[in-house]
Amino acid sequence: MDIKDKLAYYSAYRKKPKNSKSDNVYSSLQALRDYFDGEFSEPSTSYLKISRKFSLFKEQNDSTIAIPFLSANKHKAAFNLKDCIFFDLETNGLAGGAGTFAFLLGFGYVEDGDLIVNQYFLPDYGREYSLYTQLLNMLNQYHTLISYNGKSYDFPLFKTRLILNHLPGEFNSLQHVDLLHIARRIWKRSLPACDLNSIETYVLQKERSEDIPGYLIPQAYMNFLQTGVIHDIIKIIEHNYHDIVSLAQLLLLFNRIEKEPNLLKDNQALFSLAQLAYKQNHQAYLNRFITEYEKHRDPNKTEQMLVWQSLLHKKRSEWVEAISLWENLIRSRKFGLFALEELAKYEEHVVKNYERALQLTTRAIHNVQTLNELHSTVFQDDALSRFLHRRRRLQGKLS
Amino acid sequence: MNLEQLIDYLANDSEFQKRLTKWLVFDARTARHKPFPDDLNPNLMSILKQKGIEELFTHQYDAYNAIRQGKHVVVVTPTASGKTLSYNLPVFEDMLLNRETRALYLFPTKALSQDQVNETQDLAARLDKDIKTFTFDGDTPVNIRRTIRSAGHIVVTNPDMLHQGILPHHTLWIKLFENLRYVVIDEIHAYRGVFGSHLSNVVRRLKRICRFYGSDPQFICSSATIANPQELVENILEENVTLIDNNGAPSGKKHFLFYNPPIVNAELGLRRGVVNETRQIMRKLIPTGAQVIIFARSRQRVELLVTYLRTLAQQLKMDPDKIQGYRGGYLPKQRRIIEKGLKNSQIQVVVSTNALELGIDIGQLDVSLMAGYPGSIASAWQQSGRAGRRRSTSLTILVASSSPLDQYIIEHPSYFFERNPETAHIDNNNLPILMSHLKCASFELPFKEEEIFTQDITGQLLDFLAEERVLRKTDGKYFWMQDIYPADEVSLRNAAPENVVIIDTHANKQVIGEVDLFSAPEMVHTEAIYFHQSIQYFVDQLDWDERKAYVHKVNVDHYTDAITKTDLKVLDVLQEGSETDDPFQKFFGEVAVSRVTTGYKKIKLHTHENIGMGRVYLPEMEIQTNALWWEFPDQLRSDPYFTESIIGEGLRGIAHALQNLTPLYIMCDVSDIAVVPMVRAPFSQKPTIYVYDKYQGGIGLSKKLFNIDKHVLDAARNHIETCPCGQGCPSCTGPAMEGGLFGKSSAVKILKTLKLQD
Repeated sequence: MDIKDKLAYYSAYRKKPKNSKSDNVYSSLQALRDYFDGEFSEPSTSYLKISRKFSLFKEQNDSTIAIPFLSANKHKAAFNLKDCIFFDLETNGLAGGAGTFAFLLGFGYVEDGDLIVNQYFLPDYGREYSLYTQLLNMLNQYHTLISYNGKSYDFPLFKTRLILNHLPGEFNSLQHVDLLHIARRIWKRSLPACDLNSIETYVLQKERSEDIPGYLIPQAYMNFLQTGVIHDIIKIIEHNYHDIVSLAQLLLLFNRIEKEPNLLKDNQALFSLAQLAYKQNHQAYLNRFITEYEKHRDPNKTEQMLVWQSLLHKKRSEWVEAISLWENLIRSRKFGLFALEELAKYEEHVVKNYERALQLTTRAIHNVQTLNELHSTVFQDDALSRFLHRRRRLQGKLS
Repeated sequence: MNLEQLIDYLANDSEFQKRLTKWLVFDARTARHKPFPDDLNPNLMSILKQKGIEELFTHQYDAYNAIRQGKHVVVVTPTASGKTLSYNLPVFEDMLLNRETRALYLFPTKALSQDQVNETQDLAARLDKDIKTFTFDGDTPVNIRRTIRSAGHIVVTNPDMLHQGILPHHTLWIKLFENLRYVVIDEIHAYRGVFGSHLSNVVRRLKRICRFYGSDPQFICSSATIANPQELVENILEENVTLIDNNGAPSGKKHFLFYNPPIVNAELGLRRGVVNETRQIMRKLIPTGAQVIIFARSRQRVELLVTYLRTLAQQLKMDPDKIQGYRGGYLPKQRRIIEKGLKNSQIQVVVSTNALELGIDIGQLDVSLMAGYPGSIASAWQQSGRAGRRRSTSLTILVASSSPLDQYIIEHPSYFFERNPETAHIDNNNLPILMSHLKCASFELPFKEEEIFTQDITGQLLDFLAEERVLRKTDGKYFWMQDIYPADEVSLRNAAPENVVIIDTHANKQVIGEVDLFSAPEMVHTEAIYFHQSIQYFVDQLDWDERKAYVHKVNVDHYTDAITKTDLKVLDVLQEGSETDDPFQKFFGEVAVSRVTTGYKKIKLHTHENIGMGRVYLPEMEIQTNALWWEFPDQLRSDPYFTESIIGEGLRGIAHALQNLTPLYIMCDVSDIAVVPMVRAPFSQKPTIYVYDKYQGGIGLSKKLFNIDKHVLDAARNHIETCPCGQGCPSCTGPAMEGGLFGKSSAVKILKTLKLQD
């Protein structure tokens, strides 16, 4: 068999391609340009550039962004909004790897209270080089890259495309703020997913009409390549534009939340931030959350926060404050054992009052055993063995 | 009793002697050395001396020189001949001079790479140089992958990982690809057939990526002894390769015994089973204290043997834990413990599948016992090589089963002292394989119009993929345009990439092992008895959707044997090949084969009698492949001798012989092809025998058989006719009980009607 027959045989049991219309893409591209009032790159029409403006501030606004707390100290220093470049890519596949190609690259920056969004649409493969050289020059003027999930998806992909075009793929001077990570820190308990779509609906209260869902985007671009139909491409360009606008709005919102966390009306979110404050040893923040919770919100959640607070005090050896918190927690169903254990540790290791420590330990053992009898299914074996071990040690020290 | 005494004892044991068809003795061979090469780095030289190496073996010396001259090489040496040094030496030499040099080491299995990492790390530590070796495979934690990509001087991995994890993400590996000087492919003879055809295409992709980054690595391969190592490597690499085969490593005296179990039923020509016979031999060996490795052909056999031998150990008042099993499906940690136990002699007997055949470091043992012929002479040598500490005597015993191939080998031991006739072949232009990798390659880098991936037809194939909308052709280049990650759809080993996890419900839901998806319906169907570490587990439930089997320990006197049903549908006839005066017709074409496990038999341990049955309900596994089939003449039916059931018995007999003899004619494993007899094929209503490649898309085996079919059919007739048994036996047409009383005579009669001799 020659190769033609073999191929026929090979394709016989594979999906047949649909008949494609003519490849008269250029005229559709002109239509796309006219629709968005864009411009073609000179001289080779390798891409279409669309420039749009969105009014970001209604009044004069401070343009310094400071998010050390929300970024979990990844971005300690404040930075200027003017130095930020927002960015989002639309690609021909979601798998990642060298074969994934970005056909629409959206970038936004702020100028006089407006967000300027520049979008670059590649009408075919193999035309990246001149665009990417220009983008490299453009990026050099900025200091902070802002994206949504860009750290694990868009930016590595961008670098891959640079390398494939034999352009340098290192950006040492650019810091990258991934807003997804911040959104997760705040809303992981409030929302089933923290994708940009959910955040827009829930936080920014925006509804998109006629949006194209992300999973349809790769296929839409393939269809465009085959048929030249621009209907879906228009939707994708709109989609990408709105993504970038949301990025800017989110960054500003985070900047406000950082200063005034009580803006959050959502208890779960506030609780998540309290946890963040604890992890970062941020006593002042934690105290604010506790006050807020005690006054207006769910008092049950307060206990957990008090535990965190007591641990922060412990770290700083502020024993009076810590002890008073633990003593209040002894009667807590959830944290009673924790409080007894901490108090016993304090008596044993800090003030070396072994008698007191032994009393507390015995009390804890009694409590665990009672609990085990009551709920025969939930044995607190770990806790019990820890306390028994402590008791043996204390008895040794006392004898 | 030491080994010499054991050998004397066996030589004087007349019962034992009676079973031997041949006792071969290979004399000890002294080492042949060359001094260290003049240009060898003095630091390396002193490290080697520190390790007690004062000179190089001749093959190490030649390999070093050839590699330093920039040649691609293949080093052919037996087990334990210091072949790792053959490639580590030139690689380290270069790395000492050039800090940026990178090397990629490929091993066929994950397990093998671990030893290699230890070895190179030891060298680097002794040299006190920052030469980092990392293993990169599926088990590598995500957080250290970044370090490996940029800082690993030697990256140790397997072809599967290169194919799925590294090449498609080459932009993350710039440091490696820009500086790649050496690619080491160990155990390259393992890459034949499907696996080798895939590897060759992975190499094409690797070279392409290297060209993109401006590197041009040298390939250093090692192979066990086969007839055509140079040809195989040149086919895989598509480069000229220098053969290094002047092995200078010493070896001790080797006794190689061919053991044929006694005929237990002369009428049926049945021989005593390999498992029972192995137990008998071990009864003599275990008390001598000799360390023994037993190779069994299936996982289930490994477990059976461990059970039997542990009972035997108890009878001999010995610690049963000195006997261990080893096979795929044990967790890595468990395997490491066993490997260590062998090295420090805490384990006396290990029963293994061929998992231990390749170079995993377990030290050298005293005796290698093959419970059944391993399927190829090269494998047999490697398994034999597991015995024999350097310069000391070793013993190998090959116990034949009743299978035709085993019986053929045991009657023809000359293969072992003459040149090994086995040749390994690949077909890197097998269309489905080639197309898969062409897609992967396109994903990695767009093809240029004039670029060559495979000779002559690259352009046509790319155009085809463009028509199929897999690629987009524009501006003289072909770009990937599908929303999939093509490497995920291609498995280099044709095993389903998914596994079924085995969970012990009575031990804190602990995972005790895993089985590949294709074997799962047979091994761990609901109500199966699954053996693990020779402990019996009852499968409470196989949750197919979740890929989980829930089991608990039991102690019962039986095991289970799955009943599997095969369906075959002809999709397309591609070729008809019979000549006008042939009384039968032969065809080659495309078929769909589906396999389903429908039930199981309970088989009593020791007596092997059938004591019950059960049903299971599992989905079908389907493949599309190539097949050759013969439609036998209608005249069969007009002969009153040939009742429907007698035709059936005859066809089953022929199928049994063909299945087992084909590997002698076409280099492949018995399990690479399947032979299916049908008294009335749905396609033609005629008595038909199908032979199909057990590989999606076919790998050219049945096609090759199509061209030499008369030769093979006639060999089958000859083999069956001259077999000394009465009404058929496992060595020819299958056990008479299964084949029926007329299997043998009917098979010969059918084959005679075909007028095979010209």
